[in-house]
Amino acid sequence: MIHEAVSRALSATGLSIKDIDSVVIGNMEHFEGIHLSDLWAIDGSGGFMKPTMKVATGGCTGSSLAIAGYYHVASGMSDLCLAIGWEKLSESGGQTTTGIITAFDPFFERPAMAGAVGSLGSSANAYISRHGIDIARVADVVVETRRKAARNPHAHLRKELTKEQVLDSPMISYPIRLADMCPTSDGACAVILGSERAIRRHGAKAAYVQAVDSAHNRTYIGDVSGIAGEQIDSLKVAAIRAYKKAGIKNPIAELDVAEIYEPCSYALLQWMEYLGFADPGRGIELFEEGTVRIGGKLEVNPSGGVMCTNPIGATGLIRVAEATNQILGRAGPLQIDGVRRAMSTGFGGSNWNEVLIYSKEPS
Amino acid sequence: MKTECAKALPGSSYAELVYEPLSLLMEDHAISHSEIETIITCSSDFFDGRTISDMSIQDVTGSPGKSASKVSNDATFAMLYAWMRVLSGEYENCLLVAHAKPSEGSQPHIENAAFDPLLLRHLGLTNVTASGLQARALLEAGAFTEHDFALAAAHDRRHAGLGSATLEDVLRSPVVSDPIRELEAAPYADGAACLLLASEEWISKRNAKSVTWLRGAGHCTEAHYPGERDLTTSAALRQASARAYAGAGVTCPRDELACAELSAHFSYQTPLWLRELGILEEGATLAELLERRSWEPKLNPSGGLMSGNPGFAAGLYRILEIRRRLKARQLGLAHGINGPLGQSHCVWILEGGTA
Repeated sequence: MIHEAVSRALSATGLSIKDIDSVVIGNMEHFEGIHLSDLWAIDGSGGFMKPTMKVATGGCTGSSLAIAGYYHVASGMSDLCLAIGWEKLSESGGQTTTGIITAFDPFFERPAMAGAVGSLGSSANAYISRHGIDIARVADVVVETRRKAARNPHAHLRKELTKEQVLDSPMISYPIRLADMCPTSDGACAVILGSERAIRRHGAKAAYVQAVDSAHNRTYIGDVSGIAGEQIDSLKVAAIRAYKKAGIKNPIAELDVAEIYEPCSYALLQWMEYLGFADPGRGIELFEEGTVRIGGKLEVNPSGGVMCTNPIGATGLIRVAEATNQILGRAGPLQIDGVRRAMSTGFGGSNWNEVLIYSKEPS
Repeated sequence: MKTECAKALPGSSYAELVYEPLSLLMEDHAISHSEIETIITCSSDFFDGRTISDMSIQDVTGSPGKSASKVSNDATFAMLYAWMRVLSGEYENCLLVAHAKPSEGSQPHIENAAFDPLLLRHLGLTNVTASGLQARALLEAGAFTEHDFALAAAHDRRHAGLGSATLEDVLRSPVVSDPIRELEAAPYADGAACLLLASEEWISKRNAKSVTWLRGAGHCTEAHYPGERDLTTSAALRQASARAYAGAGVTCPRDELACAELSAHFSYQTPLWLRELGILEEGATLAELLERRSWEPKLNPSGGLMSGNPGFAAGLYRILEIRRRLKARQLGLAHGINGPLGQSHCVWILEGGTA
């Protein structure tokens, strides 16, 4: 799986593994039960006899890998750095929650925190109560997301759903139904980050990284502002810093596509608000008005996003690949015309959020 | 700054483990949380028994709201990432924090989980059983003798201030995995350590004291499957050290280094690592290096990992032990490894500051 992703990244760029100076790789090792997984995966990663490093930050591992690759190059330490994210959740015994719940304090939090679904449920519940959002309206988000994923050859859940099917799917943590929630997937993703000089030397095509940033909240949910940790201000903090670095004032007008790490439909609405796409409580209108739909002004998650594909350690890096493929005209059936600026995000435990902004031209 | 390594610190949470050295560091540099720009943490989810093991120390490091990341390798590797963040010019300083509490887990089970689940794990391989194969391979190849291994253990035990530190003590101790003896194994320990990395501009602006310069670094990883490796050599360490020496302009490490702290899980690794680092001549014995080449005080002055192996934090302990001993313009070497049999190595060359 890792080898397949690496081979595809190399053939897409016309590079050979010999050209790669360093490798950054990551997954969350409790899911597969493999300790020192970077060392174990060396045959597939191409890291043999190269400088390698493992970065693992939870759900946002993939975006953290891209950011680590960026610093490998920006520091002058590497000319070409291969970033690889992967996860094989089918080997976690079908119980991803068992792997996630250990992130929480064993005495105070673990008894009450049922992995990702419980905390996202309480956050979504607080969100819809505060803004008076009817859950039937949110079903549209799932319908549109599945419509996008159906076109994506790399997506996991490619079956389209009707609004009725979404509303009939089992309730798993109010107000989140099964269809609202991301799946557990197997997958790997590889992205190559390089200096301008190296990319020119190899005659490869590349998107420019304009900004990277990240921020996370306090660990204890009681320390997080808002009802039940609803206020994910760390995403806002990271986005404000990244927009400043990239010189973005109006994201809706200045970005052409955004690949957002949304663990569930409600989170996507909240995240878009924190990213400054809509005022608080009005994220749903971006779907209703078509702004973020296929053909909209700022298409969000043309790939179908995390709600359709979620191999955890790869998920954030898939966002990077999908966003930059749009700039490079490599997005196949998902391609949007004339993409000049793109954004991707990562999300994980402790509301760890990461924002990356890319452009077609140097800034 | 570091916590004194201890076999077990049952009264400390991970956060408390980190709090002690971090408060000392902040006091020493007279720095507040708001002045720390970015943070790299270093921990293992397996050692901690917690996924996203950095979550347990976020509040104590003051990382909420800041750009941070976590490296899940030995801290010498995490230090590379911290260095890169400063070198990129985006940040003027970066806090590096590493912790591990091996006393809370069953280390043989954790070590076993590092081997391939289909081909190797069911053989019962752990760090010590796999290392026995490597030590035996070295003896069979005639590279070193059991005397070299015992001498390395006695040397490190003496420097670590441990009892049973004579050659005879070591050779009399029971064999735990042929040919490795009980007193030749570095004991696991709980510990946490931290270091502030900063740009030259920030250092002069702050008029910072106790500065150590980072002169060179290199890291490299080789094959996972032991059968694919020549266990009597370490190509990865050769390459990692070649990069570090090139960066620091070191041509003859044996003569130019004032001291070196190595990460050897078992004493047989000490002569092997020294040879691959170009410090021990091919065919020479460890005794010759220590006595005739006057490396007795230079090698592992803290006792190396024999003074306690705090998992991924071990490499940062090596860095700090070298940092604390270097006089102005002296060069020192700190070394870290990942995984059994030293699959992955990182080498740092530090220079004592004049401040």
